Amino acid sequence: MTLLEFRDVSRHFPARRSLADAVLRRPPAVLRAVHHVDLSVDRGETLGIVGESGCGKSTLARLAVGLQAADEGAVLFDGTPMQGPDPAGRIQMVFQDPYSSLNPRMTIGALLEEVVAHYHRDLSAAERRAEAGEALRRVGLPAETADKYPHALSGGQRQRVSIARALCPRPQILVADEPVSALDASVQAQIINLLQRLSADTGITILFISHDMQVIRHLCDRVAVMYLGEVVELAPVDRLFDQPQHPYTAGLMEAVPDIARRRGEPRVALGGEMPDPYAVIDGCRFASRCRFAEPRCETPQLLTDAAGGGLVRCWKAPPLAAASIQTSSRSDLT
Amino acid sequence: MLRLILQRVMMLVPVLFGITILSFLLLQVMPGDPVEHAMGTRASAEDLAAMRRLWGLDLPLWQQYLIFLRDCATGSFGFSLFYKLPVSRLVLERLPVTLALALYSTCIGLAIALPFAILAALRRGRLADVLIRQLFVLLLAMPPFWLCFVLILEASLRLGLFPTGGLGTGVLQNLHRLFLPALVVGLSTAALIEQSLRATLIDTMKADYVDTARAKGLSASQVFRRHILRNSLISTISVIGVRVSWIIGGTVVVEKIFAVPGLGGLLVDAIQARDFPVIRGLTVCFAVLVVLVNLLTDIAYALADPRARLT
Repeated sequence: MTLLEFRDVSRHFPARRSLADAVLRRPPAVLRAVHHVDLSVDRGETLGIVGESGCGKSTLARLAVGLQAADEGAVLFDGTPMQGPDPAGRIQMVFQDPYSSLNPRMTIGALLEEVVAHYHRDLSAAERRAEAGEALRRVGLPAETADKYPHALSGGQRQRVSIARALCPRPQILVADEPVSALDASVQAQIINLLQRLSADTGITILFISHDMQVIRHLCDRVAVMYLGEVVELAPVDRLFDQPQHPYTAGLMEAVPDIARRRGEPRVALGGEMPDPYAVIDGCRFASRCRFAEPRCETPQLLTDAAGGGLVRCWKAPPLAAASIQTSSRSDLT
Repeated sequence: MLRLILQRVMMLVPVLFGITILSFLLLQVMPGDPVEHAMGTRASAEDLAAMRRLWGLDLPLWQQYLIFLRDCATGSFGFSLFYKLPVSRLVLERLPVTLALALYSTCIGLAIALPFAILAALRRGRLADVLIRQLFVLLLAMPPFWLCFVLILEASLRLGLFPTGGLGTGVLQNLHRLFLPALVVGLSTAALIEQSLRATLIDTMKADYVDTARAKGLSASQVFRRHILRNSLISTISVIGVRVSWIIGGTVVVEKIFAVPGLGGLLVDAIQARDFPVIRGLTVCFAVLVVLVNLLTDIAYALADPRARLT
C-alpha cells in the first residue's frame, strides 16, 4: 500500500544570472535537479535511492520532507498533497552530516525536548524529559547523553541523536539522506543495523538515500536508481543486483569494489563525467556516457516494465519475453 | 571559571608594570615641563628649581618611579599637580560617567543594529539590504564631531529636545542629558554590530542544523529565534567587547563637545597641563578596564557558547 507518492515531481533551480545575461536577454539557465519523477513508497518498506553526486537524490529527499516545494507535480502523503514540513511530524529526516546538523549551542536533551514539546504541547517538563530519554534509549544511547552538547559526542553518536530526534514525533516515514557517508566504516555498520532494527521492530517506512551500493543492498527492499534528475531503473533489490538492466545501473555495479574479483579480470567502470546538468536533453540523459548508445537514444525514453520485475528507462533493456537471455548481463557487458 | 578570573587578575600584574614603566619613559621624552607650564615664562630659575624640588621632579627617574609605586600602594596614585587632589579621587569621580556612557551607547547601538541586521539578513541582496548597508557605511564615515554639532544644532537648539551638554542629577535626568552623546557613540557601535551580525545571520541561515530545525516542523519564526538569532548573537558579544574597551578611553571628542565629565576629557586636560601623576593614574586605570572588559567578554562568550572552553 502506497504511503508516500511522488507524482510527476519536478524541481528546477535557476542558475544565477549575471547582469550581462539580463541585458542580452539570454534565457535563464535551469538546473533540472529532479525531473518528472514518479515514485511511490509502500508502507513498511525500505526504499533505496542511489546515484552519483548531483543526480538529484538529496533534492528528492528534501522534497519528500517538504523542505523544498515541487515546481511541478505533487508529493502525496497517504493520498493528500503535502505543503511544507508535515505539521503532524509524520515524515522526518536524518541529515547527512552529523557534525553540522545539530545546533551546537543546545544540549542533546534540549534538542529532543524541543521536538517533543512542539508535537505534544500538553506534556509537563518531566514528561518531556522522560520522552527524550526514551528516544535516546531507542537508538541505543545512555540517558546521560541528554546533558551533553553535540561537540562532546562522536560522529556515530551524533547520528544516533539525529535518528532519535527524527523518531521523536513518532513519524511513519524516516527519510535518511546519506546518513552514513560521513562516518567510519565500523560506525556505518552500527547505524545501518540500527535502521534495520527500527524497521523490523516498528515497521517504520524508510526512504534511504545513498551512493553506496553495498549499503543499499544490505538495507533496502526496493531500489530506485537516479541519473541527472530522472529515475532510470526501479526494481526489487535482488533483481536489481542480479540482473541490472539499465546500462547505468550495470556501470554502478561494476564500480563496486569486489574482493573476489581476480586480478587482471577486466573491469568496466563508468567512463567520463556527468554531462552539464544545465544542458537540456530530450533523449536518454545517459546516452553521452553509454557504450551502447545509438541514434535512437536521442528520442525520449520512458520507464517501462522490465524483465524480472520493476521498471527501466532504456529501449535496449530486454523485453519481458527475452528475460532469460539477460540472466548473465554482467558478462554480456564486459 | 574562578581559575580563569584569578589567572586574568594575575596577568594584570606584569601588564601594569609594563604600562607604568612605559608611561614614565614616554612622559620623560614628552616636550614641555609641568613646572614651566604652571609658573609661566616670567618665573625665575630659583623659583622653578624650588617648585621642581617641591613636586619631586628633581629626583632621579628610578626614585620617582618608586615614589609612584608607593602612592599606588597607598591607593592615592599620587597627587594631581594642578587640582591638588589625589589622582584616585579625580579618576573615580569620572569613571562612573564614562562607564555609564559606554553602557548607554552600547544599548542604543544594539537597539538600532538588531532590527536592521535582521531585516538586512532576511532580505539579503534585495533593495532593503542595499539601503541598510549604505546607511550604516554612511554612519561610519561621518566624523563624530560633525555629528555632534548637527545634533546640538538641530535637536538641542532648534527643537529644544535635549540640553546641549553637562550632567544632571538622578538616573532619569542623566539618561535624558546623556542621550545625545550616547547616540553619537552608539551610532557607530550600531554600524559595527549591524555589519557583523548581518554576516553571521546569513552564515547561520545556511547551517545544516537550521534545516534540521525546519524539518522538525518548527515555524519559520521559531527557527529564526531559537536557532538562527541565538547562535548568531555570539559574534556580537566580541564586537561589543572590543567596542567598549575603545569607548572607555576613546570618546574624548564627544565628551568635550557635550561637556560630559568623563575620563577621556580628563586625560586630554592632564596631557595639556603636563599633569604627570594624572596621566599615569589614567593609564593604569585604562589598562585595568581593558583587561576587565576582555575578561567579561570571555566569560559572556563561554556562557553563550558551550564549545568555548575557559582556559
